[in-house]
Amino acid sequence: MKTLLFDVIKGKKAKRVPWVPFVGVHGGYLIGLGADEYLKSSDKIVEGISTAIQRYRPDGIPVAFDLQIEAEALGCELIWSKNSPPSVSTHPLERGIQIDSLKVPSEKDGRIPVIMDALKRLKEKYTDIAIYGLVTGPLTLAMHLAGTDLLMNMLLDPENVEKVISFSCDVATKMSQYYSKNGADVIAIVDPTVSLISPQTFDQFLTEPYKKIFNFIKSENKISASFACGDARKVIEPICKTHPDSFHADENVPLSMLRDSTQKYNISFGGNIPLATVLFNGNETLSQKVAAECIYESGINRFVLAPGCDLLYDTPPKNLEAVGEVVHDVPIEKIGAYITEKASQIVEEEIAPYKVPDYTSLDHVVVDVITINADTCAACKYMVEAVKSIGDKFMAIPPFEWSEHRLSEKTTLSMIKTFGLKQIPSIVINGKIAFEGIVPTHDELVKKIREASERKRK
Amino acid sequence: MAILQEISENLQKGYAPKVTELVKQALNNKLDPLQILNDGLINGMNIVGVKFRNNEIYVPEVLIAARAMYAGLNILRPILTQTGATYVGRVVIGTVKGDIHDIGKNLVKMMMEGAGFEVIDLGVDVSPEKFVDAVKNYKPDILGMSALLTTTMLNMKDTIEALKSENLRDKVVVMVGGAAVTESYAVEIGANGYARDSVSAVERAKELVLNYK
Repeated sequence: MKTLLFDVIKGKKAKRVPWVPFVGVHGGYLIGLGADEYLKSSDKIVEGISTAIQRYRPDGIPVAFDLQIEAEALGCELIWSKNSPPSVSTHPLERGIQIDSLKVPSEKDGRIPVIMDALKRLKEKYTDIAIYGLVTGPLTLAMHLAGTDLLMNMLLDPENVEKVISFSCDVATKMSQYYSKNGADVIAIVDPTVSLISPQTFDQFLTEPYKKIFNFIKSENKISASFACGDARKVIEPICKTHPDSFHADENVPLSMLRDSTQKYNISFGGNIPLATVLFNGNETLSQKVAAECIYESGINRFVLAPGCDLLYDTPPKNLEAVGEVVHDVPIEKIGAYITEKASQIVEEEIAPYKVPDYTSLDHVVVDVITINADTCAACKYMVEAVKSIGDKFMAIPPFEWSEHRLSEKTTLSMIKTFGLKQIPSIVINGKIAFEGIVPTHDELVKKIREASERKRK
Repeated sequence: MAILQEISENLQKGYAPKVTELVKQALNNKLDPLQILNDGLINGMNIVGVKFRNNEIYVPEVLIAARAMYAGLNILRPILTQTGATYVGRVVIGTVKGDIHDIGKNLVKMMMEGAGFEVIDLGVDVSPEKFVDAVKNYKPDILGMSALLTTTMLNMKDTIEALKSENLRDKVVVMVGGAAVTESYAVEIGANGYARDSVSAVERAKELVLNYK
């Protein structure tokens, strides 16, 4: 539902979390075509995205995810492949072409007409789904044009780099205009390379271009978005200061961090189901568990559920359908219980047993605290703190070592299976369940540790 | 030695002409070339690596420091070769077939060279056959493969299989890395080592070379 997505981005209350699968070359996979054929035909893009809409039940979807469209229109040569987006292989500015001689592409250049035609047709066909137009970000386009030396030249030849980025910004603004004119609901600036530079460098070269582009998108009465990839933690704040309406990052940025940073600036945030380890290599249960964890960690306010980035070509469609089920069918108040249910399902399905240490040979008692995540789940935090605090206060108890095991770690799932845990958070002492779902008092905890130590001596 | 410290500091700031001048000066002062390498260039690059990992500096700053390192290395290399000074180890490196992304691979190469390894760079889009040929020709201690894309990282496995069928797998330590690669994937395909960034790659490479030599 388009309106639900808009409401969430604008900060209004909504019944559920909106879902935006980033279908790029994966659209080709859905209709049995290689990326090289798919991304060159508006008919095929419309067919691929229509299939994704029917199967994944999204609230929003990009028309295409290809950060080489502008570069190609500007003379960069591309290498095409069947199962990934094309890559830029030559950089015009490295080959002696001057930046002043480059012209901002028109709507007729390169594959821009293909994308715009697909956008128009999808808009006519799906009035209730938000269509995203994805624009290559100014740093990424500048690197396409000038090669990786651009990074070094940010320090050695800043004036020239500013020129290239300023041109790239003009291109991005113009592309935003084309997307807006052809009906895109959300226009996203996708700049994966920003994670390579420092916040200071971002500020020096990109703050003004970003502001200019986002202001333009807003002046067109469209919703703006910023997508970053990789370890973008350091540039979240500088990007937020350029005021996009929403900000997406991949799994390198913890959602809780993204939430806290964006909330300060009144910006919606989105992400970040891992593309490879979960959606590509995992099964439906794992995809559902992780999607539910993303929702749990983010809360319902201003959060858009999405993959970390462009979906891999042959991501199993059943995994994405499964995520669609979580979004539409699991009530938000039941999401915590749902995670536990999925975790135990995974344990049943595929987890190897935990290699239990020989507790009798150790000179200390082992306390394992099993949590969802003590940073984000309050009950888990209390459980961890209960164990932590006895270390300080009860010097007389037998020596013990404790560690937290979070649900996101594979060993934790093995532990759940081997120890037979039914609830999380829990405390296991020397392999025996001591407390399940209930935070113990100091006395109860110390008593159990002493018992374990005595059992060992016998 | 003050001049070596100066080389290290200028390298960290990326002042290539100054590093060139200082290395020449140190040689004129009859300093041991190996000491200039270790206490000047390698020391400087180590500090750059630590700062990079701690997010004190970023890719542009590392690229500039590496440029300064190469300026010094280009003067020392011929002399070191003449004197028969040995490298920490030899590394053959490349981005796997189908992948033309080289920022990560180049960073690893620079850090490796900055740590005293000899690095043979096969470039990007390197096929399993090319990797195998390089292992035969150069007899490296380490073969390093990089992949940015999840689709291309599958080619790492093909290279390892190709090494096996040529009976070369036991002759070389295989390290993998890149945005798409994870530790569990490295284990799954039978690589000896994985590193999540260029600094860890150097640390891991040193450990592996020590263990396998």
